[in-house]
Amino acid sequence: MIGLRTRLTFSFAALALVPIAAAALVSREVLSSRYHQEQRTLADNVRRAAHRQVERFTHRVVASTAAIASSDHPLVGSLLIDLAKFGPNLPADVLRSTRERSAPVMRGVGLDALTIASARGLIITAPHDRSAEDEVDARLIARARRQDGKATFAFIPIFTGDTIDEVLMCEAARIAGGDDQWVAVAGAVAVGPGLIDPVRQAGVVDARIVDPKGRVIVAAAGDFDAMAGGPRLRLPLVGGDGEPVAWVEVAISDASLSASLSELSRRAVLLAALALAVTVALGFWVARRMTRDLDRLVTGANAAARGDLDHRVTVTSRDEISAVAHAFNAMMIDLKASKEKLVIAERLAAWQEVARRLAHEIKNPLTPIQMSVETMRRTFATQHPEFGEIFEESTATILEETARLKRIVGDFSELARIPKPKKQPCNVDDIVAGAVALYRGSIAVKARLAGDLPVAHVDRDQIAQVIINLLENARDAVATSELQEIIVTTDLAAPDRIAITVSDSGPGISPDARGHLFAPYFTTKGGRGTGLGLAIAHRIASDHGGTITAGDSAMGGASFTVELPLR
Amino acid sequence: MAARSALIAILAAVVLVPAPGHAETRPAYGGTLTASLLAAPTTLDPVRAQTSAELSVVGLVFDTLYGGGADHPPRLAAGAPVIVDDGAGHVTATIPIRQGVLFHDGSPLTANDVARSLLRLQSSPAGWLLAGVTSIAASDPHTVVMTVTRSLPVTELLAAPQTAITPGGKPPSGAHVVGSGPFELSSLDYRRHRIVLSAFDAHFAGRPYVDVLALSWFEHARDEARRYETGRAHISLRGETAFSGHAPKYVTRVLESGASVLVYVGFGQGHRGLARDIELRRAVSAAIGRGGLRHIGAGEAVIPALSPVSPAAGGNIPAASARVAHPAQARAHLAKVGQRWPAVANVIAGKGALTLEIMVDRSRPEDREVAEKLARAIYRIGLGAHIDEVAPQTFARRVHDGACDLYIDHLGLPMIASAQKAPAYWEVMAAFVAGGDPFAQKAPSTDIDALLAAFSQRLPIVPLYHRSIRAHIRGDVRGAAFSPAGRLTQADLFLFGHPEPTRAP
Repeated sequence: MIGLRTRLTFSFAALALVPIAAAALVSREVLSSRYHQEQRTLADNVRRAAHRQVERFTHRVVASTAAIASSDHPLVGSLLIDLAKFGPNLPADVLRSTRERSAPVMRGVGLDALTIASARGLIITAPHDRSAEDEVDARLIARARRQDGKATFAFIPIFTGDTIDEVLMCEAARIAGGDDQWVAVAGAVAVGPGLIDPVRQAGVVDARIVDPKGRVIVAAAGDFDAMAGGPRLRLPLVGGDGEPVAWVEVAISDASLSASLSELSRRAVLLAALALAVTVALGFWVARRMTRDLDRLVTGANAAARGDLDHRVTVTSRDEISAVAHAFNAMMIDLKASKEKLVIAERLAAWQEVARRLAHEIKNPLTPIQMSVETMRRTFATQHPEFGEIFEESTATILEETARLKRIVGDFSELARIPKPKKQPCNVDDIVAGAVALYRGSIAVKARLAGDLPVAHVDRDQIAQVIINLLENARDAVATSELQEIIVTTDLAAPDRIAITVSDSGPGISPDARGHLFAPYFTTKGGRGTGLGLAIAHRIASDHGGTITAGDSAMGGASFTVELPLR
Repeated sequence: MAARSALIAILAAVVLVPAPGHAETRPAYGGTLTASLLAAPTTLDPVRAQTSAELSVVGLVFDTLYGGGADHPPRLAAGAPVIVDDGAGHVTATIPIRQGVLFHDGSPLTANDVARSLLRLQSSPAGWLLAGVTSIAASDPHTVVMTVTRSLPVTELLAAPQTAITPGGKPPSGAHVVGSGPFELSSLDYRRHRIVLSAFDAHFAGRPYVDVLALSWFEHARDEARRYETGRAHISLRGETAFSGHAPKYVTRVLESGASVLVYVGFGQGHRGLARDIELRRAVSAAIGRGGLRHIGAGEAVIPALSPVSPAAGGNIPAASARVAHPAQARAHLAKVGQRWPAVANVIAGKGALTLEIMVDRSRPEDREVAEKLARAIYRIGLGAHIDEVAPQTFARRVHDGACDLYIDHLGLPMIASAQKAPAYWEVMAAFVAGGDPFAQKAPSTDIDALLAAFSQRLPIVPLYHRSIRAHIRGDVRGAAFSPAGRLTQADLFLFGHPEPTRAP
């Protein structure tokens, strides 16, 4: 069962949760929207930066090529003169000199490839790839005429290391020289990380270059695919025919956004949790204050239930609960007074009953005594001839009844004189075993002892008296039964209480007798019993703080159980 | 490898003419002459020598029975062979052996050494060179008798460097190289790229002038050129490679041989024999524009070649149209390869890639350029290429084992003195085409074109060009000349006076 305090606490928390969650969600949405706006702005900036970078890259190639493809340039100028002097078949030393000079020229203007071809397409020098020299490449002339210095992108086969690889390059080709003598000059710069590095922003923007088939030409700096989720941009690198030969792919990471939103969410959750915790604590405190007085009332009620009518509920508040407490206290005072009156009345009734029973008991012998005395007086007066016999009989009756009276008075005295128990540590099993041993040889008494009972602080003799009283009753009960069986068991009724049960196979307890079993002088044995055995047992059990109850046994007879506290 | 060796012997078995002498006054003995080789000599065994470098060293350490040149003067032979034809199809050639000739280890040359050396040649891959010879025996200590199937150009055959005589006919073993030539081997250091030869005082033709001949090879042409330019070498074969304007420290004169070296593409057994497919050879041959090779090297003459026969030996100079690449024709040949090889078919269909290895001897730096040209050529027809530069010994071993796809190799060619000698050349070539015996065919063809066509069927090579050797010789070196075989006559060199600086200090 969930207590009022818990319910109140949860109710406060539930009530607080709604506005807290709403506040967190709204805050997150507002900030998320702001972040997305920033992301879009970043994407626009990156797009512009990528465009600018490609333009800058191509412009560099165009400018570098144009610088060489001029008759004013020492390399091309002298080459044009040599061609004019020697014709298309240049002497070997001229060729060697041209080739030797072309390499530093190429590097000097920042080109990765430089090809100079004669009007017939014969490649005079290609310092980036000597395997191309002395080859005929008519397409170079066509490109130079078509491009007229403009830069386009193309995959150009070049020796790299030990193999020919198609390298993505930005190439500008143009004709250098006049109508009579000219060469085609093509300059190119390999497309590498330098093209996309300026676009990159560590952890935020990454870029790579792929060909139309999706093969990566220039790899991203980081894990490009891991940046999925953010905006993607594609920028074509256009070839000579106007078609893209490769694409610059730019990925803008939403990791920052995601991280921010995650952090935001995390903080919102944390704040909400904190608020909830505060609310719960506050609710708990309020609930505790509210229920504290109720708890006191409950305690008072429990005390009243236990019979503690002196218990009073103290409240500090001045609210309705305080009024209830005051009413409760008043009720307790009334109850105590009523109980005292009741106790007095009960006690009086009890003594009246005892007196009545005692009187009844005493009265019974008095009648034979009276009749015997009257008989003796009448016979003596008439000098009855058989007075002697009558005297003998009458005095015997008087003596017998007098003895009976004496015993009644003695028993009553004994009941009244039962002393306070002298408790000492005892093993109840031993006490039971000792009592059962007294009946060995007379009747079958089975002892089923727990064997591991904790030590109990009881008055050994009184408890033995209780057990003997119960066994006596049981023996009398089974005397006329076909099955004569008595079982004594010991057990722990509770962690702090020991139970001793005496069961028999007798006729059992009639419903009429159940209400009077422990009353003094109540007996079902007729003249054989005094009716004080169970009363004494009840008195001893009560004096030990225990109880004695009667019930039915599994054997069809009666069962009496004595429960005693360990201390 | 057999075909390669056969080619060596075929081309070496022609009549050579001696170069005109360059008489110098007052030759002096002594000194160390520092020169270079075009490559590392991977073998000093005469029967296996092939490249210019190998032939140069073998020619200095060993002697043959007859010398090159028009007259084939006797060297280890005491005179011209006596040919006797009994009219019944039995021809004997009796060769007198020079007496008093000593090997470098002091042992005398005998007819037995000659007979055993020639018998070893017969059993070598180049043995077909003596295919017309049915028996070789020493009839006495100074006479060797050979039985031949008919009159052979005996002196021409026995002037081939592969017929050099070794003691007991045994091959050189490691650094133990013993011949009877003008120089004996002092050291061969592959790690330092140097071979040192010492003058053999007891050489039958007289001691060489210089005491020591130190020959080096280089993995980078610039290294050789730099050494010569700074005056640290007497002779360089790549003096102009590195420096435009060529201004060596000392006054220099340049000598150039005829186009005596064939540079060709060889084919190994790579890709499970794919590289040996004749159509692949034809595809490679058609793909490469030989005209684009003309500026390879250190400025020496480069003559594009379609056949292994030098124009100087009667071969044809390709027409202009044959010097350019024919990609369409190459692709057609490649398509035929694709019919037999799925890997190539996939390349043609654009479904895959095939990369062929081009192996290069790193001691021949020009070959790297050739390989790059070749790679570009086959790239145009859709094949990938990877250039693998390896050590000379590795190169030789892998070529021998066929453990490669393509390789660039050299062949030191002889030079035919005159067109009248050409028939002998073709006779030997016919022997090879006929399967070893020049007379197995009753009427061997002497049609050059037909022989060349047959050649291309049998030899797993694609000729690229013939090149000359251009020697840069310091002014204080005298006696230098090229033999008709394209080898510098280093045995006749001597130092005279001091080198003259090119500029006044």
